[in-house]
Amino acid sequence: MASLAKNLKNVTPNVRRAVVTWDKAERIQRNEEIFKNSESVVHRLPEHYKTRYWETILSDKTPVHYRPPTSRFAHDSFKNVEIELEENPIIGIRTPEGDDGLWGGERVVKGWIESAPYTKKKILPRYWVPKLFFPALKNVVLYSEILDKYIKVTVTERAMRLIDEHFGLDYYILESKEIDLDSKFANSLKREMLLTLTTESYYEENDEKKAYIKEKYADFVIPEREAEWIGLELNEAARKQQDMEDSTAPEPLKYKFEQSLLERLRDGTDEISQELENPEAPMKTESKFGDKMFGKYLNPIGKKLRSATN
Amino acid sequence: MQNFDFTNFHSLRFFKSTMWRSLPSLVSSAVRSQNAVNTRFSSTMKQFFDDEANFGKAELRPKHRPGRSWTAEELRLKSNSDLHKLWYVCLKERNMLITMKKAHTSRARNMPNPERLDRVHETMDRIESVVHERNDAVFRLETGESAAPRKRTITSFAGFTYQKQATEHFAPPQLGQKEYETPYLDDDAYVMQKLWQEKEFMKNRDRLDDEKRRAARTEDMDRFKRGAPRVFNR
Repeated sequence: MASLAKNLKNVTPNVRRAVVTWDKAERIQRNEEIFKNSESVVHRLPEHYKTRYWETILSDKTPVHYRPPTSRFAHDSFKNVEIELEENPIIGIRTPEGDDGLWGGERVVKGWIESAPYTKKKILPRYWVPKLFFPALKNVVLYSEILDKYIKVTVTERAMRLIDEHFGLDYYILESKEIDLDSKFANSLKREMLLTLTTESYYEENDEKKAYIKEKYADFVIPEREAEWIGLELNEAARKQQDMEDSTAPEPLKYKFEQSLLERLRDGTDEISQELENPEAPMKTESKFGDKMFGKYLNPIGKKLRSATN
Repeated sequence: MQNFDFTNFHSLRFFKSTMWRSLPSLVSSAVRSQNAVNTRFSSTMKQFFDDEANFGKAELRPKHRPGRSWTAEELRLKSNSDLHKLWYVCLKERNMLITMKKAHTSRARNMPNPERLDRVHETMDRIESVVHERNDAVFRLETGESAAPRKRTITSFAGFTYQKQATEHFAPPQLGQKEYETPYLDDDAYVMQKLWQEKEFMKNRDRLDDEKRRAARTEDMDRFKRGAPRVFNR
């Protein structure tokens, strides 16, 4: 039942149906397949990275190219029917250029248009042809307060607006989720900013400025070993993990055995040393079960056999 | 035997034109012609060949027939020097047997008890595995690594993840040269894997189906060329 959007009036105010959108379902399914393999490298990744990664996977992307419905039901006064509104996100195509810039979540969107719309069908047939809608991009120079650097990047108008809303590039990058930044460059910027904040390697000469930055971004400081994993894609993180494993030599077993022996000696649970120390202690003997009953008959036979073979 | 190596099979072409029974004399004549010294076919030389009594026989006498090969459990009880000695005993025996096999093959005969070669091979494999076990234990204790070459898990362009033996290089790998395990496959590899899994699944399903049908066939069906009883109202 198709209805024109202009005719629709919300029936229920601000109560939307809780649904898992198709893009989120796809993300979950894809990652579930990866994590189902118990031998995969992903299980050796640090725990904090895995937690953050799954939080990203399970979070909703901020709508950019569509407006989500504001209520569950709407009334079409023209057709005089009530319809249920659905949330079908329009997710664009990810591009390598988008990974280098700050597009604020915008992407290249594929749509369909009518060819030759104002020509007579008799003259020229009309077809539905695909069309790619590209974001309006511009090159700007942005200033990062933490890094104290000017950055020349490709941005969209939406990204500029978001930066203004967050009162600066640094706050925009640090406050936004990775899924909304939607670019490898922005994620690496985030990682670099967090690392700089953690190690306090900003404004080494200017103490006043340093104290100002420290107070301003105090909420974003996280441990360094976590900060260096922020914003890495799953494959990048896996590569990092494998590099770390390759560069660390395994520990010789002799140290492990030494430690365990020392522990046992300290606890007094080492059997060999105990036996050496007090020989009067009860000895462990093998079971003589049955010897009492049949020993009378069997022992002489055994003795004979033994003497015969010797 | 300065330059004359009996382990070299090319020396065997001297045998070609003579009768089988005269093998040792032929060998000695070959030695004589090579060295131009009138040496006898000494006991040292004889070690390269089988016992003369075994020449041209269909099967060895029961007393000389080979026993079984050494088991890994027995070899584990031996010291390293004993294993070393046993290895060279086996090596000599293997060399001798291969020589004899080649000689027999060249004159279109069957070698008596060729299973001797298998027994020696089995023993040598087991010695190698036992020595590897000991080596491995020492390596793990002292360095923490296995004595076996290190393996890395990598993902191919088509999305297959497998173990690959690490190789030595003079320099660390260039950027983008090193192979990694990549859990999140790109679109092509992902589709490839999906199709591959589907194909494997269908192959397995058909195999199980075939097995089931074969198991359901009775002797009568094969004998009288009859199909299965038709049951329409199943």
